[in-house]
Amino acid sequence: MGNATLTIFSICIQASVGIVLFIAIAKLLNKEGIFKNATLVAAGLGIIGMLASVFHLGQPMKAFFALYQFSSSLLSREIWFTAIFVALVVLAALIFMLKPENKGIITGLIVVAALVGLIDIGLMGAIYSNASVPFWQTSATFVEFYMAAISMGAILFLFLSLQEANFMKKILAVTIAAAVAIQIAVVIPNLINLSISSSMAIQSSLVILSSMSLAGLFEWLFILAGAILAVWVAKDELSPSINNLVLSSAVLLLVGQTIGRYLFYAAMVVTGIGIS
Amino acid sequence: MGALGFYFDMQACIGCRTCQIACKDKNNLPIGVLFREIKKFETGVFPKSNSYNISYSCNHCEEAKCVKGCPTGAMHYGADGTVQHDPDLCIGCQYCIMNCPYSVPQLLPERNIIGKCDSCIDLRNAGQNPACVDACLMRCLHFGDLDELRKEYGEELVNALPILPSPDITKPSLLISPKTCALESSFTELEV
Repeated sequence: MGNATLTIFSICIQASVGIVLFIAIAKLLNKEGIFKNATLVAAGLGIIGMLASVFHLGQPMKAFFALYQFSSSLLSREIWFTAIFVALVVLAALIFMLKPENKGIITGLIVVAALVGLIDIGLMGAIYSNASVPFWQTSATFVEFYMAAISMGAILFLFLSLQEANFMKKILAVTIAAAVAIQIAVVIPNLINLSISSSMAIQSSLVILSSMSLAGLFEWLFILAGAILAVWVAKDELSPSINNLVLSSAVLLLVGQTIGRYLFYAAMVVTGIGIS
Repeated sequence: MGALGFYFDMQACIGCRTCQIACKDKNNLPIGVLFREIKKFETGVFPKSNSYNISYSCNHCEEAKCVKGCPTGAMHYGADGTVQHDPDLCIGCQYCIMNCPYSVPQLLPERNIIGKCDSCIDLRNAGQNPACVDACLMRCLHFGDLDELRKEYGEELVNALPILPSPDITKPSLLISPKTCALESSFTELEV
């Protein structure tokens, strides 16, 4: 249950941050853009992510205690930023539904939410890279989190705003391809580099990963297929079949990143006595 | 006055696990949860092999990552500088489990919160020793001011061994009188 809730939490929040980031960029490029569906889905993903993080706790009813140590605890800071991000996006979604004429306020909330969300992802990376889990203590953790947010956010934003975001289709496709390329270029060499490490904790993490190698294969196959599909559809004009291809690309990228994140958590081996 | 912590005489330890059981009994721990544990390691190759035991629990580190990382303040420094845990503040996020380089904090499955060695602060406040110290047959465990313990047991004590994470990470309040073989970099853990 622990790995599943953490996976749902981090994937949902990162996908939500990614969507909000591209809504903010699109609103800056096209001030008339509304992007209602994308905003509502980003809010929904944020809420699901927050709920998953609460149910990960042994004592969910005491979850707000986690806000007490902002000054010293990275986890407390991350929870603050996640809560603020989700609150901003939910507020923007509520204004959309109740007073959609307040475009300026919605744009302001989305832009601030995107900035808060980007800091939040950095804090997520810092939480894990500072833990006593050598497998996580590399820059690949940050790259994986940011590139997952960008690739999932871009394809979900494109799917949810196909008409309005048509002018950004090629930019989004190139962004997805670049994000996936960076993710592969950093994560795969990092795995190879870790395989020659003398750390017993890292070797134990790699043994866990090798026992789940089929899942790892599907992770990269899905991510690659999703990115290739995103680039493929960007060259064609809108049509129902193209919409289905964008949906397929989104599903592939989401499933691939989710498998990857599950493996990330499954590979957790903390150092200890005799395991350094 | 120096930090408070445990002294462990590895040279005298016979690995009987009485400290482990005394701790488990004192803290009424469920199956699978240990606040103090004995591990046995082997170095060298037969016929020139050696073995040693280590009895370990919370090291009440001066720069404890569990305290720094805890989002609620449940992990905190007590008035005497030892690392204490407030179960009422603990939300069971398990970040201390990920953070402690010694893998000390444990999830108490029946309560869904964390638990760890509190150096038997209740006994110490009553002028007694921690349960593990008094239970040790070979008198290998002591708890007290590390400066005083160093004076009493010699300057050759260490808090760094190849089997331990680097003391630079958290500055553990721990002194060990090591067997020579425990200083060898190549070791194998023995399941007993």
